[in-house]
Amino acid sequence: MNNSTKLKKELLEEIELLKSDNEKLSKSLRLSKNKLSRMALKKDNNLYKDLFENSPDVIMILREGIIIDCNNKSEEIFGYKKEEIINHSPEIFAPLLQRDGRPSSQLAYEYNLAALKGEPQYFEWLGKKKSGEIVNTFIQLNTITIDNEALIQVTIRDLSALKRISLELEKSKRKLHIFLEQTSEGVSFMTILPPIDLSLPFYEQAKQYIQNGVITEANQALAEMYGLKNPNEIIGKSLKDFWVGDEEEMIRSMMDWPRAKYRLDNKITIEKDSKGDIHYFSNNSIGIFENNHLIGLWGAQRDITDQFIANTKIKESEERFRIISEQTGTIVYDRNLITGETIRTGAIKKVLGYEPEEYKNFSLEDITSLLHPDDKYDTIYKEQLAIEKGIDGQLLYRMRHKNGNYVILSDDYVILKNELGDPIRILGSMKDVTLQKEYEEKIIRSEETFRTLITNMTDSFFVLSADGLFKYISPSHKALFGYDEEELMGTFAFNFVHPDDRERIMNMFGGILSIDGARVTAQYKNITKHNGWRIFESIGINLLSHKDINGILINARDVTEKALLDNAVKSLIEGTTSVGREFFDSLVLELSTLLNFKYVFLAEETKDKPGILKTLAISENQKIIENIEYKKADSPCINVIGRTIQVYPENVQELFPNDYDLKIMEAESYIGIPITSSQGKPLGLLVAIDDKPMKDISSAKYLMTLFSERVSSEIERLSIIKELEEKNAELERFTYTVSHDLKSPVITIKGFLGMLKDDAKEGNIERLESDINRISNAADKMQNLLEDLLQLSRIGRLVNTSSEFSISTIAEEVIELLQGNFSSLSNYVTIEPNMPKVYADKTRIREVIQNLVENSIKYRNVNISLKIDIGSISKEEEIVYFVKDNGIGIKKEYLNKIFGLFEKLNPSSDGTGIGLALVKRIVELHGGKIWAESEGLDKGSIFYFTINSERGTK
Amino acid sequence: MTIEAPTILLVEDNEDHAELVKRGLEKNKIANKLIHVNDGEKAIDYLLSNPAPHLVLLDLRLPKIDGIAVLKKIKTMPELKKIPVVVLTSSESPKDIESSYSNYVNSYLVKPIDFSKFHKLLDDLGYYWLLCNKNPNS
Repeated sequence: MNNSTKLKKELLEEIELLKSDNEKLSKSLRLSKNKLSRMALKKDNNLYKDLFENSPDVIMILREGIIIDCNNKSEEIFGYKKEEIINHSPEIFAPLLQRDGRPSSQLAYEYNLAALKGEPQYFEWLGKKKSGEIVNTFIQLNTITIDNEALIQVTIRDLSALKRISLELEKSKRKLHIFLEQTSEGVSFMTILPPIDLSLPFYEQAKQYIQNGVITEANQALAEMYGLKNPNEIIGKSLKDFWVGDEEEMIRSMMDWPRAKYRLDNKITIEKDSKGDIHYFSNNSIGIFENNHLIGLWGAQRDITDQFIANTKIKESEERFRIISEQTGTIVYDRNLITGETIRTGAIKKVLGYEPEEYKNFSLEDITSLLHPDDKYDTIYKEQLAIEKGIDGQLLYRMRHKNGNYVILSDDYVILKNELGDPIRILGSMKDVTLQKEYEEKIIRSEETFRTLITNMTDSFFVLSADGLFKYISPSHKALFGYDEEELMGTFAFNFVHPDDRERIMNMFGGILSIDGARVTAQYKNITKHNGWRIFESIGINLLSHKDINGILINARDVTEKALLDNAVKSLIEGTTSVGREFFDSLVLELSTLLNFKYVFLAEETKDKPGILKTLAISENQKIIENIEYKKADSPCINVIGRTIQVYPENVQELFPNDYDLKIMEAESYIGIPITSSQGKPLGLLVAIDDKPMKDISSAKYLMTLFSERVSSEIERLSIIKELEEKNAELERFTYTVSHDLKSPVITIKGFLGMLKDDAKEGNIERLESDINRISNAADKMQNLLEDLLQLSRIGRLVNTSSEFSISTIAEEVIELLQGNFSSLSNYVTIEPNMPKVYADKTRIREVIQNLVENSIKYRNVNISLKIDIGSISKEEEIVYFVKDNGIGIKKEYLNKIFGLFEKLNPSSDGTGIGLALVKRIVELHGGKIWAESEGLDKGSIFYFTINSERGTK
Repeated sequence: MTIEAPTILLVEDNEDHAELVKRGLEKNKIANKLIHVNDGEKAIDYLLSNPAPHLVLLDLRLPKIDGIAVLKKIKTMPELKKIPVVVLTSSESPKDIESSYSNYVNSYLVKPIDFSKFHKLLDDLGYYWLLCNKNPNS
């Protein structure tokens, strides 16, 4: 709220206060007046008496200067009895002299006379009580005619009570006056007598206002505005005294006032002061009403003559403007921001098609309505903003020509301000630029293709002067380098180049300076505003002779990621120097640095624990940590291993709620890629996990793919080495066992052959026979061994073709086969019917089942009835077949040993120790696993094995 | 002065070989007392629950607990480690010889295929280990 409106508000509050005080006073006066006239007219005795006696005022009736009647109030106030009053002169109620020193009798006579002439008299009067005490009274004299006789009615009010009220009034008036004197606005109260009936037509109201309005209050400021020294000089004046022009014109211009219910805001009036000088006032007012009548008007006005004089001066030169602007085809306008008055001139007809006279009378709203709907609000807003900020500028908008077409106008405006810096006027020129704009748009459209190219390109273009200073920077430059245009323009470009590269790059730059059109490509590190050092690849072309470019045009591209990838590839290639575990560690580290993921690891399936994955290398926050094992089934890895790349950019924990490791890792995103051998055999997987959502999925995918390929070759290499080592060990074991186990029977044979000589010498026939038996057995054993070895060497090659069959069928065949050796075997064996079909070498798998069932029979518990179960279970998405017995069982520590070649737990058993080694061989050749479980001795054993059906085709 | 008959623990899974060793030692009248067990587990059980033998003849390929493991057990147990252990095996594998000596074997002998050589070896063995060699206990 500005100062003047604040003052205005305070003023209005004061007025309201005063008004209520005034009302109290005038109401009471009017009341008694009304009562008297009514009782006089009605002559209703009872009513007359009632009113007469109950009046708060003293009432006396005089006939020719003698009191003929009075009410009881007279006794009350003056202390005389009624008999002492009636038939006496009123002189007894007054002191000799009144306040002004004149004799009471003379004054009373004058008032009486005047009243008798028909003019009611109101005056203050000093009264005297019977006790001699002087009282302040207020007297009203009215002439009443009763039965053609003129009588005087005297109404006397004791002012001692009123005095208090008036004192209060005085006080608040003083307050108001102090306030009024303080304000720079001219404040006045116009009393309207008689009041104006608000139901009258506006014209009539305006007319009455001008005729009946009298200034009854004024402050110093107001007086000065009219060229007067003292407010008193202006009191009693009416509007007519100041108005310029004839009355009819004045009335018409005043019609706004009743229309606005006498509440005016910055209404401009043109008035003359006491010297006849013209002043322009901006008026605010508020009407005081009573019974739907205007009884007065508080006004506050400001002298805005100076601003108007400026306007006038403009007006004087308007003609000149008109001519010039017409010549240049522009419309010139000048709008007073305070009064709203606007001057419009110039080539109005030419630009908008309107007659100047027609256009000049357009209101601001009319003009606004001509704006193109799409431009309207934007233009109004921009103009408002310009006015508020007081900043000159240019607007471009479409405006409707009288012929209905829109023309494009360029509106150049200036804002004029007063000495306080408040904007007071806006001056502008509107020019038709339709043709120019259409032409420009054509150019823009043709340029747009090029511009779109530049702005949408991730490459940055910039032009350097021959001195290496920035001359031009493309919009995309900021996206790459982060600097604003203003920061770079005119700065030395090479200051941003890394010191390691600077000399080289400057030399390259210098190298093309002397050759027109020369071109050079370079990679270098450049500091960016927000992302530190980045690697850029730039092409510079010498276009110094080009008339528009006149510099070295440089096209820069951020190749940091590419360079990092190049480095990654390089390190992958160089990584071949380290092998095995060391290689995996360095690879995981390298990948974690490039990806910047919290965890990166390489995992493979464990051989001995199905469904469990173990890491080969794992990094946490770019550091190698101890390897871990985890369950495949609950983790996202289940969808990766042996399958395809998986990306969970966020919420991976919610997707795999049972994976406890993800919780520990605080995983949010996950990317996993399977690692397969060159033959497509699943080897494991490479995983990266982060505690943040994944942003750049494509980069991560690319890096993971790149690394996984290298890993797979290394894992494959390692697994080949391992396989070779295992084969080697097996071969070694084979030659060892062969040398040992084949030697044993030879030693036996030769040993007992030697004994035979002794037996014969000693004639010990019995021992001779037993020794011969030993020799024979040893020879048999040797034969068995040789046969088994032959068989074992044969299974290295799967000669039989694979076919589809169920393990159930095979098991039944085996039981059938073994019935010959173990009668009614089928009574002791349960076979799960319709086990899943496998695709494998049927003959070999039958050997597996046969060996396992034979073992169950061989190592049965002789004390209880034999029981064999053959069946399958589904475990970790794999079918596991089993042969379960209730035999002698196996001690835990020997569970692995039993699959070794020539291993026997019982030296007295008649096996060669090749059976389980053979079974293991067959299962492994089918891509499966075999293992045994037993609760211990006499607890029975279970042999489990799996078959990878797909391997059968190989 | 009566010489207490020396005790030999023979750990051998091959029944025939055990018989050959028994007869060979009987013939040269050295081994009066020969205890035979046919696997590694039984060997350890015997050693832990009987007076220490004068000599252990140990085969390497044994069921349950193999010879090297038995040797290791003997040589790491304070109450057993002084017992002379002679490996008697058909294996000539350098790996077996190496690991036997690494586990403090007292002697490593390979069973000859030739009968007379086998007997000569047993003669020498008995003579050397039970007569010439001075044991800490004796």
